[in-house]
Amino acid sequence: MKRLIVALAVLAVLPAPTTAQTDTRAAAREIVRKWQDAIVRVRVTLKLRMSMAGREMNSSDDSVDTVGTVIDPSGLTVLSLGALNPGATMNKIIGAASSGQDRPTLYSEPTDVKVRISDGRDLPAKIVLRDEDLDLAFLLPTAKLEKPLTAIDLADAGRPGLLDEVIVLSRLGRVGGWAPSAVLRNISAIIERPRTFYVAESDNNTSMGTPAFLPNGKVVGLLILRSVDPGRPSMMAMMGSEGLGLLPVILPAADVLEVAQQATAK
Amino acid sequence: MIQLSALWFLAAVSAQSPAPAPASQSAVEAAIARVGPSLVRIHVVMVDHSAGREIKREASGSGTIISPDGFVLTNHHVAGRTRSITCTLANREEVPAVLVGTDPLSDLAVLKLRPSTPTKYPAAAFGDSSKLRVGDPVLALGSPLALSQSVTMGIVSNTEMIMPGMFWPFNRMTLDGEDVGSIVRWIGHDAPIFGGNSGGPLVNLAGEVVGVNEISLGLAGAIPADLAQEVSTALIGEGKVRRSWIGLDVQPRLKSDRSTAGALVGSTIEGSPAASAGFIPGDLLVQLDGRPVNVQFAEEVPLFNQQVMRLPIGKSIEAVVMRDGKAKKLTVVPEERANVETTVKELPELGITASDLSIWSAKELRRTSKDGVRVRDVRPGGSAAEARPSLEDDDVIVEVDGKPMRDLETLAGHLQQIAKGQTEPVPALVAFDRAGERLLTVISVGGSALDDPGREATKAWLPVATQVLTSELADVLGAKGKMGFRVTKILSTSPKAGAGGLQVGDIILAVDGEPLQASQPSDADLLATTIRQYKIGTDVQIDILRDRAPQKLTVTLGPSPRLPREMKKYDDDTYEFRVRDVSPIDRERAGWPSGQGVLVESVTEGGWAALAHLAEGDLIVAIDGEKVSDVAGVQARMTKLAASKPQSVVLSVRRGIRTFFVEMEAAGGR
Repeated sequence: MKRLIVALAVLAVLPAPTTAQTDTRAAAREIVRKWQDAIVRVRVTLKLRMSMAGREMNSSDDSVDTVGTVIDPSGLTVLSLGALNPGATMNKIIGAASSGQDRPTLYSEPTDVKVRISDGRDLPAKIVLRDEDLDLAFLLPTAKLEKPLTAIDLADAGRPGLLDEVIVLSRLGRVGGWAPSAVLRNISAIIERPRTFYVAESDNNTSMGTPAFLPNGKVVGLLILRSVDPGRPSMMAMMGSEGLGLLPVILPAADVLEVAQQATAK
Repeated sequence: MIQLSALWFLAAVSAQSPAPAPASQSAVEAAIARVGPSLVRIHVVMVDHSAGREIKREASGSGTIISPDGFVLTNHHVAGRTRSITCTLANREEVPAVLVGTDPLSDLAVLKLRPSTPTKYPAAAFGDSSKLRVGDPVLALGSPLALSQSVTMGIVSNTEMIMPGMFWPFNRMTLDGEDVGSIVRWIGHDAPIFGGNSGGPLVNLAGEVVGVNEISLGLAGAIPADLAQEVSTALIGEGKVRRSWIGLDVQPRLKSDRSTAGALVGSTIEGSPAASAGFIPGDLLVQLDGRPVNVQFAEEVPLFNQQVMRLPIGKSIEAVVMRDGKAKKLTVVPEERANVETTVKELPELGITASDLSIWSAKELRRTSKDGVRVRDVRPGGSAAEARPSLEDDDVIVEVDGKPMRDLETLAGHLQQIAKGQTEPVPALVAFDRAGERLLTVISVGGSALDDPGREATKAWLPVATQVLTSELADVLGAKGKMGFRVTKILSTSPKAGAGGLQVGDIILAVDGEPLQASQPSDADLLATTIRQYKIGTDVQIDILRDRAPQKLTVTLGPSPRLPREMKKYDDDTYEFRVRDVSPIDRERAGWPSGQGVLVESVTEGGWAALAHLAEGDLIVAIDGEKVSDVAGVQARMTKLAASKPQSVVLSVRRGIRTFFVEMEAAGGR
């Protein structure tokens, strides 16, 4: 890797680490080294439309950069569906604050998708499957690959316990020189119902669609944005994830893998 | 709504305090009776450009019939950039119209009514606006808010209104790059005008048009009829206004200057007739073409500019300037003035809007010729935006694949040639100039949009709607202490899915022996999520309470139905709307019978369907009386109509519990 800048922010702010912490960080660095090429940037061009009471009010084009994870050497890449469909998230926020026919509705249609792989090449891609329920989108390159891509093995999965440390991989964008990045997080909650989700401490820099690992190298799952009905609209509901019905969580690897099988099915 | 939002805001404020004007009722009525029949409401589809795309907008303004054969005077900002124009006459008859000519510098335009049969129209007469005096009563006629034709009354407040200097640097009103205030001194009046009054007549009590209402700065402003008459005559005669240009900017004499006449030369445009004649900044121009020049105040600048623009084109004229205290004679040959802006066009193959260079923009971009194509705006995510380096505003495209691109027409034709018959984007080497540098980039011409947004993952599904069994409900329904879901509806959205004998009112307690621990509304997705864990086709045992008695049902889980967004779609490019097949979920929600209609998914703003008020969510059940049941049928029908170009197409539409007819007209159909 030409310009490896591993962003381990924790190192900069904590006092001298204990032996256990040192071990975790060493393990984290090894995970970054092993899987960094599987973390890719995805550029999505969107057509955005806004309508109110059935009448189109405005339309425009825009593009977003996000992160994806390659999960098969064929280039099958998974990312948070929310990145492809920001209109749905915006509608959720608008819906949390207002109701009725005069509420604007936003629609976003992806018109172009490119996967930027670790060597800097852009691969045109298509969306092969979506899962609104689990906030997943699966992409496949449209052109034949010169060689298989590095892909994370979701079958080699582990289960963290409460307060266990996990390593969340990501990749910075243009400003960050496309460098791979990683953060250490603690599992702050485990949701059991209606399905298992792990909640990792998060900050505003956590990207959806990125994988989390245990220090032993086993993959935990993928960061997604869990969405539930926030209930009755209210201006106050817009304050915080509870009011919006949105929460970043780690979806277990097995669940991602199960849906991914549909993505590759003919 | 006319796009002068700040001015419109001020107009609304001014409306709070209309001043009564001293005028007899009979005189007012007579004036209205004289001009009223000539008043038209103008409805237009405007063409604008934003973020690298051409966009259409509906707008409304006012106008006056100024000749029996149907010429209509209005503002350029109402009708100067339009794709279609419809005029509503005083008798409420709607008549299509075409643009005869437009003049952004004076913000005036002339239309011609196009009735289906020859018609003689009541024409209003122009009055002499130079005779207006402050205090004269005036009437503003028009269609404020596009509602109806109406009249307001006031007095002339100012006969030489200009944009106040204290608003600097916002004291210029530019339209298509032209500084309207450079030649217009408005008639200020306090007859309230609103958005939609633009282009309507300002009338004196003799029933004559003395102005064309245009702006509101608190006081309303009308373009004087003398200027309007001169411009409209030129537009009707030649389709444009030919004006002289010498490339000289003047300003009022400095306060420290003790001279009693003359205009201070502020600048001369490089390469202009004035520069060639030897004018230099600091000269005091005292005479032009034998007429004295005097610009002491800002109000006098428009009159000087009018004087310059009326000079004979191509003929030598003499000017006298004071330089270093001595009179100096200069000879200047005026040229024909070119518009500041040229037509902007969308180039979808590149994802930009672009225009030819005008003489003005070429100078501003420091180019030696008008050759090249000026990039006006770049569409985010478009081919040009994604290129490395990407194109930016004011880049000038000079070559594509080594071929010179002298103008927009050449570039548009070349791009169409490149993209013709291609299904994949074609890389093109584009050379462009930016700030004196010649750069190269590769742009994918004709990048195709994703035609498939990706199918939805199919999962096991129980075709019932439910509500959470709250503890309060459980108590009342004889299920005290139980948790689960109450069945509220049996869905029939999938022929393969069965509800396995579930009935409305059943309380579902467990799935395969696993209790459903739902007791709060926030647990609403627990049942669906539990079901989705199973594979399609699995038999699951469901524990229920029916009539307070426990029962066990075996249900075979079917696949989840296709989502609305997965349905087949059709985009109609003529009328600009998109429809899709109705999904089972849509039918379940709306209660529509199966086999009827297609759902309107989007209607392009300003498109023909939008103008006819077709709306998203409408169900189209028939086209010109022929029933439609799916997208394929609509596509076949609309393709046939596109070839025959009918005057109008009538859609039978269902919206909510009501049905109605939508009559769509397209410019191509006329």
